[in-house]
Amino acid sequence: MFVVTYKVTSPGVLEEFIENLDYQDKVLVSVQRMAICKADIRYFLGNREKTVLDHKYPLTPIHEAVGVVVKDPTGNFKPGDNVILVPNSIDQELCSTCANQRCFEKDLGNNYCPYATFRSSTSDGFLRSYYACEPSLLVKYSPDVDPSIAVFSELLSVAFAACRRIDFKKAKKIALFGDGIMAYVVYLVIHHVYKKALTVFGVDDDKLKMFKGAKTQMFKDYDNHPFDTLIECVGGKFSEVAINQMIDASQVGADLILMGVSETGVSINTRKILEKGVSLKGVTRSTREDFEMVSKALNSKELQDAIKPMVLSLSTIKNIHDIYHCYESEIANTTVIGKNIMKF
Amino acid sequence: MNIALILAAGTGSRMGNADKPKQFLNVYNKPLLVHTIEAFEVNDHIEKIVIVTNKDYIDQVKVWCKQYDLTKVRNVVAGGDSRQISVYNGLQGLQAIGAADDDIIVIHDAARPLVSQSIIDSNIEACQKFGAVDTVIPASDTIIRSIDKKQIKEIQNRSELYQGQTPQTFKFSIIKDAHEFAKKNHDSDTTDDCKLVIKMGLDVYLVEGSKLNFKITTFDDLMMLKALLKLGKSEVL
Repeated sequence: MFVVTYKVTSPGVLEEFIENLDYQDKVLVSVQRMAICKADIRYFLGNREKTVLDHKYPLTPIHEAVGVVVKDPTGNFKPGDNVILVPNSIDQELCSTCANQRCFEKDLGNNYCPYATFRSSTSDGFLRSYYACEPSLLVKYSPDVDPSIAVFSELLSVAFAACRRIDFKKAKKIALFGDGIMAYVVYLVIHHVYKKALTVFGVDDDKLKMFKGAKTQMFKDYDNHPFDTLIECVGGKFSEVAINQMIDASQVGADLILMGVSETGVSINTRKILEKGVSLKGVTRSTREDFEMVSKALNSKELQDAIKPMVLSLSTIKNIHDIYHCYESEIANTTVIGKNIMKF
Repeated sequence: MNIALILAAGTGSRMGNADKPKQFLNVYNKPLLVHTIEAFEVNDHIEKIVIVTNKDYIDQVKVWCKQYDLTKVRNVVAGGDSRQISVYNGLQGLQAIGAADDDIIVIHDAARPLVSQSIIDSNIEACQKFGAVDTVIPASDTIIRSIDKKQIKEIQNRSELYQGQTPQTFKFSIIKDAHEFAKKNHDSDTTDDCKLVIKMGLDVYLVEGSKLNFKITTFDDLMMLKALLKLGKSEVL
């Protein structure tokens, strides 16, 4: 069948394309909700090196999406099933030839597979009315969950991936650095799913008010009681400040989990890292298992209620101008935690 | 209930030397008709589909429905010598599957495979309100009227002109009555269902279409469709 997709063809330019969607032997999904991620904005604005962008364009954006199964000749799903679209594809046939051999370790998972492709980055994304894929790239979620809430699954899955790197038996004092959307989602998982206490360090009082039930403070008010597990969700140029503050606030032997993306190198206090013997762990993306955990966690009304404030608006995409408007809203939003959700 | 009536009984006389009508030509190893049916098959609001096709293709269409898992297709009926007769036969086919007077019938040309889901949805929504709707796009070219093909007779105000597309969507009772009314008045070659409804004295409302929802009438149109699909195939490295 012929479907409409939208691609970023050069910085600031989206174009409509018609594609033949061959869904034989695949699950056909009607895409119901989509959310724009910071990475989508970077590709849209062209905020990457030119050579990288030249390789990417034209690129269908969006890797945060949920849908409804229309047909499934594989027999894994029923028409009408609600599904989360998993953006990471792993080719397991290549595992035996891989030099890493680390994907089977639970804390790392297959996030770091050198042969993996990721939607809206190394392969086309979900900004399309219909999508067809192997059943392994879909995770069912409850019909009782509002799709505008379920569309946050990819973000939540990354938070679950970060929690895989935390030894909750040992973690007695957890600190979260950042007051943006990624920090909020990590707070949701630690506070509402793992039910652990945490302190959130941020710079914006209004945003910090959203982290209900967690202790929140500015770093200048740090009381010199160091933490054993510290998570960075700042990214960009300010990650340098945040990471150095985290090192300052670390106990000896603490784990520092880094989640923010910075395009340029950051300068960190290695002397203190050595003195305190802290470990740095990088986390990006997630695995299918993380999505399965999200699907289970979404059944919690408490978690759903805590996600709801992140739904800033719901826009119906009737033409390419509607998508431009959503991008503009996302780019302009620097003050509120949440996203402008899109639907067809 | 919302039922799609797909018209695939054309002869494709403007497709040059093609050995079969345009709606049966393959695009990406699939007949154009199947691509069009799929747009309705996947639509959440369409519950059943009836197809009107050339008498000699009825069995072939049934095979395709099975082959491509088009489970909403409930009837395949033979078309007639004109579009109006084909639609009339389609209405009989709808009656045969138990269509009720209040059902919404979405009539669509098989040769418009790029109909979007939002056009189908808008048709259904508007028909629920008005009973009879037509999909149109504003005329972008100046429309010239000539009677002798030599001289301009009239140039109408472009802002009042639109190009008609399909779907054309009606309450079953309205389109049925319009066709019976035409039959009674020996009006048998009207190329547009909306015209029949207007002749009955009813209003027809407009639904916004899309330039992409063009009709594959000539080989140039087919080339344009294929060119659009080739552009869409451009992949990231």
